[in-house]
Amino acid sequence: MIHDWDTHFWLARLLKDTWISAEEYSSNDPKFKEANLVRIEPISTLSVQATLEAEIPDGYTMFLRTDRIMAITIGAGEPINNAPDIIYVMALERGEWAEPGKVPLSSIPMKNGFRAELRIFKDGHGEVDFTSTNNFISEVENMNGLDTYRFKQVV
Amino acid sequence: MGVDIWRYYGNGPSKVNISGGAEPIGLKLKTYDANNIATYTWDAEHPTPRPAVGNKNTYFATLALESDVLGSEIYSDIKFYSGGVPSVPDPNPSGYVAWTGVQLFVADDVDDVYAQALGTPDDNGTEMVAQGVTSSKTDLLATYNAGNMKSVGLVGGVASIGPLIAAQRISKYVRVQGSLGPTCAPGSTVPAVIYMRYSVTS
Repeated sequence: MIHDWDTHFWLARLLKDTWISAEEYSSNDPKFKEANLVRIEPISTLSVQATLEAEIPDGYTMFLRTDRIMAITIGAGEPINNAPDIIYVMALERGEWAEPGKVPLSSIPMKNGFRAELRIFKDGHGEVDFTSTNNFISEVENMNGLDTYRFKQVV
Repeated sequence: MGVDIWRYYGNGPSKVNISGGAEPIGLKLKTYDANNIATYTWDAEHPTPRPAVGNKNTYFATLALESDVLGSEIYSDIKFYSGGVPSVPDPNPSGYVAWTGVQLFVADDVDDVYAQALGTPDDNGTEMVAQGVTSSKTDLLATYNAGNMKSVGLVGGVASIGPLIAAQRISKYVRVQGSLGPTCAPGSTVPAVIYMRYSVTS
């Protein structure tokens, strides 16, 4: 599902080079478990121009989450709000889960995989954060103003 | 409408959306709680007096996340935290006062049982541990931030919830309460910010 507040959406490549996306599917759909590559891409040229991309090695599970952060004020006036509004989360972990879309990420310790976040701030800028076990790396490439972050397994 | 932070008040409880719309209501803490807008509206009614000794409390406020997105979303990992103790801006045209002598507490216990805040209107709210809605409490602004978020949990204690078939509360109740000591300054404290964060399966 793509919300009216979304700035990015996911695409997943299945076997036989067919693609599904958040336009028609949830990542909890059984079809998503067939994915071998996932991308989180900007919806438009007005979105933060960053793409996250990761292959899904055999034996690993990909979790996609969108975290929303709502701020409320205590006191009259405008508070200084430096927090992101939206965080697109791509998490990869070795193992199998029956319904990965129904598992809280907080319940999955990072033992063999990575966590990547694309943070979207109210002022329109973005930041990417990547943490992993030592068998994954992050690379970034800039082309025509679009930063593509690729998360790869190293052997 | 989507997912928003709601405040619950009165004996029903009544409820109001405090995070949605073009101009969100935000969180006004008073020494009052009844089934009317005077409980939460932004005005100078029902203030908390500065004590000569000891502390005076606001009535505690009860908050939770609700969603009316049906048939699609799965929610998990609801968190609650703050932006920290705000500094007095320089310049300070609005004349804000520092949070000296003022604390904002969050109940350590979260649950699914609503309890109306008690106290003496226009004087002192019953401290929330004393009222029995939590066994202990924590200084919210000094403790919980983006690096140390408080886990709130989902209604019913489930690991995830959804897709929903009807609009409903999705988080447990969180309670916050202001406390004033003799050193607090009269006036409006610098605006602070608190956050609720949730994950939705993309």
